[in-house]
Amino acid sequence: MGRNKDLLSNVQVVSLVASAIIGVTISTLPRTVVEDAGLNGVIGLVVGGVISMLLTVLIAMLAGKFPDAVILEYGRNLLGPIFSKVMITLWLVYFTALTGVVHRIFADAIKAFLLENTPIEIIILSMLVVTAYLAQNGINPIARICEAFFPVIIGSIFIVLLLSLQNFNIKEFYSLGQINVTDILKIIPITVISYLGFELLLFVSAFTIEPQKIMRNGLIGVGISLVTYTAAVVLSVGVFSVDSLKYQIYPMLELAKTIAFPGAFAERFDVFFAIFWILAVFTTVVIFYYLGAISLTKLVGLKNYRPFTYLFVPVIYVISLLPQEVAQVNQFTTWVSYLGGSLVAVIPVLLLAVAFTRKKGGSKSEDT
Amino acid sequence: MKIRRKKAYLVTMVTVLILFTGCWDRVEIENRGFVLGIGLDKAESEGKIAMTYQFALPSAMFGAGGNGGGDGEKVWNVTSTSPSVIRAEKQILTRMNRVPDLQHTQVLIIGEALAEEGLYEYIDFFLREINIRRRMDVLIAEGKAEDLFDIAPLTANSTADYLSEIIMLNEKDVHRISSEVDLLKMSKNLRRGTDFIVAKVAPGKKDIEMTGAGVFRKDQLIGYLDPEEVRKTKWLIDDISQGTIVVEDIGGIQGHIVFEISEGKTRVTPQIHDESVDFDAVIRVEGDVAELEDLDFPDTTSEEFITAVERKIEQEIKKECEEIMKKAQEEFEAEFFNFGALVKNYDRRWFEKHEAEWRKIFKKSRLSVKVNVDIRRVGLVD
Repeated sequence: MGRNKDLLSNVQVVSLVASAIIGVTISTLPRTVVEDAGLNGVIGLVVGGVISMLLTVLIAMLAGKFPDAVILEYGRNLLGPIFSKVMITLWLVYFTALTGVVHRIFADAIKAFLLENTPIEIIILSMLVVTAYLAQNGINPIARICEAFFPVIIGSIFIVLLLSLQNFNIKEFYSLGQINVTDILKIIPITVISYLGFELLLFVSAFTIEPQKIMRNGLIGVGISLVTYTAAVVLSVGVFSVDSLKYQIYPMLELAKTIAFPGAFAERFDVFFAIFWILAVFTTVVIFYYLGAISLTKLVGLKNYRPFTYLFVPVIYVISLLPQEVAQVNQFTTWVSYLGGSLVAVIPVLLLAVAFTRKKGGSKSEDT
Repeated sequence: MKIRRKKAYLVTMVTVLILFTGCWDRVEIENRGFVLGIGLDKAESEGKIAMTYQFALPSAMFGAGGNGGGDGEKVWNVTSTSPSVIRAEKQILTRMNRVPDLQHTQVLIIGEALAEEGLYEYIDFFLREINIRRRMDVLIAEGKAEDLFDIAPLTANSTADYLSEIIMLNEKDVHRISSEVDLLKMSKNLRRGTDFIVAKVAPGKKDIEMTGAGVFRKDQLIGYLDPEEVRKTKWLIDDISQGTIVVEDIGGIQGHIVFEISEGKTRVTPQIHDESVDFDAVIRVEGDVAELEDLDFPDTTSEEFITAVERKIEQEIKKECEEIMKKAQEEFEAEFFNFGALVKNYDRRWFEKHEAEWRKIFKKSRLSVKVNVDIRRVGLVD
């Protein structure tokens, strides 16, 4: 894959990264963060964001070493054929499982908030068909869609947050200073996985117009997510208080519900928010769907990924329906997230290490 | 190739047509029964609740017949008895040809007897149910909530509208109406396990009076505050509404002076010690002299007169705060001034450690009040 036709602009890379991060999690994040750690979770969220930025730097360094290839190609150079296949398989498992579980969480939330009587099979399938349709055309249309949707998504989130200020109580944060280090350390892995999505840089670095700016763009993308996440959590805590937030399954949608306009028009503001949240989920799943498809293509050693985008529809449909109830969905989400978290933490470091040792003349790449 | 494409196209179109024919969850608006108010009561039979839905009858509300609709009934109240809220709702369905729609519900009125038993087990439905607005007002009925819905005030289309409008329009202007409590605030209090007050409604002949408040310890109604006590409470919970304070005989003036509050702000800071908490309240009030009984009083704009009135009102407010605090500590043993939440916000660790004996600690708390009154205007005559 050389550098041909249209490449991704800087803005597109930023919106790709941020769109991949901000997705289904934003609706549940505030609860996840404060559930066990209380206010310490807010600190943990910021720390998690910073850690994600560090990982982004690592990824960008790796991408900088191979400006003309993506991880699926140079992985073979660094790890050898067998280990690179293992790595690609792991990525593939992660991307497919993630796409499946995101579809499921999305469908559950939509069923709870908007379409009570629609079977989730139909909700999942209609989302999946649209996703497959966009993903078959490759990264460029996806990037353009992200570029177009991203301002709308961020805008709607911040409208909800701004309007929630009417119920905001700053006193909820008075004991923020009571830091409990163990709580923060415990929550950091959970917050870091909520930032997952920046790993897409590993897969798109070669298609960008200015590969040398990948680090800058990635950091901006993660930074936007960090600000959005922190604002969402802070507002939710200020409105609901930690004690009541613990019980909300979809705090962001609930937050939109608490907004009251004078004169009582626009009474169901959560519906407005849910519509834009669907766009946010869509931009996330389509990216991971595409990444899954190209991983599979590389794994079987083919060039054209299009057939695989169609092949994925039934696979992801089945995966998304595997968990039977809400507890299993949560369990499944945790597994997938930890798999993704470990992949993102280990693989760039590993590859970088191999790249460095090789350059310094050592040829001990096989022992890793 | 072309034919195959056409076939694929056809299959897609048919699938789409079958799957996406309009909205799956569509309920036509004329098939919806809009619930305006919900009443919850303890039923006659043991362990059951009686839930009342007040349905709007839009054709009577907005139909022909000039101002405010026709002569017929504008609402229909349906009550059903059942062990749980959701079953009561399902039972209403057996007598209703509409789909109950809770999206426009304005008020939830809880009957006295049920509130005394505790709310935890009944409020859950309203938090779980997606359609209920979180800003729905919660009220306590003196007697039965069911009976209140039978009263149809002339100025409103329904009892529910009437009550929510009293809260929305008049709460800020009368400091005898207890502060608005909506489902959001209520759920926060219940989750936190702190005490709170909820405005009480009492039936009149043709109207409903919103007067006084019910005091909740955790989730149980334990008593009532009269309107004067509500006023006193509002000093401490930082919800100072417009209202009047009457003081007597100052600065050589005969009879009473009425002071009208225009705005005010309270700031309560807890002083948390090892095993006790004290509270410092700083209250700032601004207002006008609204009425003098002594029409011939020469000089209301003089420095001495104004200062004297200010000091007197300050004392009065201070006295009121101390009275209500004493009542809360001794009679109710409940901290309905949001003090529990305040302490929890200031020092979460301390509160979590002392949560069990928190009400005992509150009983021994001292409250020191500093009041600062500014009289800005004296009206139009000197």
